Amino acid sequence: MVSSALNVNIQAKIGSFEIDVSFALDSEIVSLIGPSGSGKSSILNCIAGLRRPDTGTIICGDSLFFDSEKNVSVPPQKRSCAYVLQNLALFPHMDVAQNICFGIEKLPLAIREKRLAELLALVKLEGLERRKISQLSGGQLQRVALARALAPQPKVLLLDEPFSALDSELRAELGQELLSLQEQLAIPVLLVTHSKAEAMRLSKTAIQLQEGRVKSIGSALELGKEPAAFHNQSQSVRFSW
Amino acid sequence: MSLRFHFQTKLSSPLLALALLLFLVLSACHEAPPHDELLVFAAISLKDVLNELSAAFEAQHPGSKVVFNYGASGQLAQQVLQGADADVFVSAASKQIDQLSAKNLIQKNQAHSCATNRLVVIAQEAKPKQLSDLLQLGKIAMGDPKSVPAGDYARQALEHAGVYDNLSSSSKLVFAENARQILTYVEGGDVDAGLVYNTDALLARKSRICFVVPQSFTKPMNYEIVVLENSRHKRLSEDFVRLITGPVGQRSFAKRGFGS
Amino acid sequence: MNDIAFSVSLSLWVAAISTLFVAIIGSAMGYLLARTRFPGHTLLDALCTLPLVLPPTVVGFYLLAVFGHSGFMGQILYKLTGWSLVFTWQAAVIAAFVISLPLMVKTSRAAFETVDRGLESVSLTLGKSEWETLLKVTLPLASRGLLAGVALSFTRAIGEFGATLMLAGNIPGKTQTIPLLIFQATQSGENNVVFALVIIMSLFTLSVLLLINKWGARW
Repeated sequence: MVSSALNVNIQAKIGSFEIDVSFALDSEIVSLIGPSGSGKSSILNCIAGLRRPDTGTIICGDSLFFDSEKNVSVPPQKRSCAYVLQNLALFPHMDVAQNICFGIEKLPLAIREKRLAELLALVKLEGLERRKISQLSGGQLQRVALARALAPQPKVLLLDEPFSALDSELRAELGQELLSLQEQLAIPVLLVTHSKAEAMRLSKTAIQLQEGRVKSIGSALELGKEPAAFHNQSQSVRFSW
Repeated sequence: MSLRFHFQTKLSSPLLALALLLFLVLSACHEAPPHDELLVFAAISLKDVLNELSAAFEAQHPGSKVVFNYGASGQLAQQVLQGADADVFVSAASKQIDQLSAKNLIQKNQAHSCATNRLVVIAQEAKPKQLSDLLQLGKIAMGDPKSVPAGDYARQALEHAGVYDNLSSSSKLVFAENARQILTYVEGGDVDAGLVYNTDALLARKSRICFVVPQSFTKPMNYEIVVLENSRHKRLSEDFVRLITGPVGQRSFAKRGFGS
Repeated sequence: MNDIAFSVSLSLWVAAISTLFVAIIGSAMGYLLARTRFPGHTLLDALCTLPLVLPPTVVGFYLLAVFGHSGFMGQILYKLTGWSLVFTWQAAVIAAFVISLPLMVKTSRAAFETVDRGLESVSLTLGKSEWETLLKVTLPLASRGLLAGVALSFTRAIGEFGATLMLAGNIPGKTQTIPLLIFQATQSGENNVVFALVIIMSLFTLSVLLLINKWGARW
């Protein structure tokens, strides 16, 4: 049996809300799609180690992140897991280079500089090392956030609605870049989105989430064929096709 | 952003003005002052006796009201010097009377003595028998000689006994603003002894009077009462002084431990 | 003149020391109140605000009841060291500390609450420990507010009167801070002393505030 790159099987009670999901990723981009309030961000938090599920296991490659039975819960610092939040959470008091190198400060200077140069090239931000965060455009901010997350060479990348604040052109552009990035890095990428179009564009597999539970896991293309199944009365306006 | 702020200030400034106006109107609508209101500045050691006597005065003069401002005589004198609108001034020492007289706020010959007091030494555990015994003790609490008459008298007594400089230079003296503070320090054990008026010592619950300071050690501890020159109720004020210095007043004073 | 010189140097010393403690303890409590929830959270918040609401003289009475000769802290201190806190400059420090602490707690709590918690979460995922996150992310971003709190506390400490009077007493040459000397001089009509001290205190406080503002603007 092929061991997957990321294996998640968790149950958690958050307030009055219950999460019970089980899925696995290989080295690919997988979309996690669902109406707001279905627990997507909480699941990412659990994988990153910011929230502790009640029961279950989270395995990344050959590292055990979480196992409730063995009472193992690795702190977020030790999980080689990159997390880009929806609001990016870039450090306003640091410039671009400092933000990107934040996770690799402990590495020797030479390696740091090399990696910084590589990342800047990867996300097409060469020359902007000393820029202040407040001086960057939306697309540039996105790239810095990605570069920062990738600096420590993580084993898995989590993205929470990364392109929601951008216009459609930038979305398309960055989406393409994400695809090529993933090919280069060959790590599993879990992408949370509420846009079916985006899911279909960027991923082959989509996990549909509803009220904390997996409704279905299947081909992303299937999403385009079941408009009715996805309607949530109060949220229908949100879905972009 | 600026648009929203502009809108908020447009709405809120008339509201604010209205609230302010309402507040001013309401605060002005208190009970109209009685026809004759006397403002009496008095040394705080006289609080209980004067309150009692003012009730008698108001009964004798219907429509009148006596309002007191109690404090350390030094502070009160300062307030009058700065223009406070008092009608009657009752001081615990002649120093303040002299100060007011020098500025022509009172006529010195109009001041009458209405009571006397004595200085005592109180303590909780220590047992000094005379002032020189205080040298053996730790800290001593007394009024601030610069502003509290009881403190000035205490200083005079200690100087007379030849121990003031010694105590002062060894930082043993703790200056308090009023008798309550001295009693608190003595009864809490934070000082070993205190110098207070006899009348204040009688209020103490946990400390005892060790001895009375001989009269000759200090200037006479006279309370002097006088009507202020700028008083707008001269007649009534003089009536008040007459009550205080008359037999009714003297009886009340004696009841509380004051001398005549 | 001697009195003035002494009270100025004493006030500076007392305010500096108490503000140092207030800065550390106050921001720690502000952080606790901002970032954690525990049973008694509201009670702690109320207790921290109390010295701000009570008249300083009342606070002084409480302090005397605790640190005085018959107070439980005072007795412990005496038994352990044979030393009494009342009527010492250390008492003035304690009075200033208690009175100005609420200002620091409130200001720092507000400052920490404005720091986006997402930033702290991201810092953790990037390998930083909780402590490193506090030092590298939270504190720098809260620094403006913290600095304002320190400035506020310092000026409050230097102007402290009521509680100081009760606990440290008004002892010239030993515990007489500027406010105590001003009060005494006012009562005895020594207006030139009052004038001199008011000028000194205003100038000094103004320059401290300007300095802190300049320093804060640099960040």
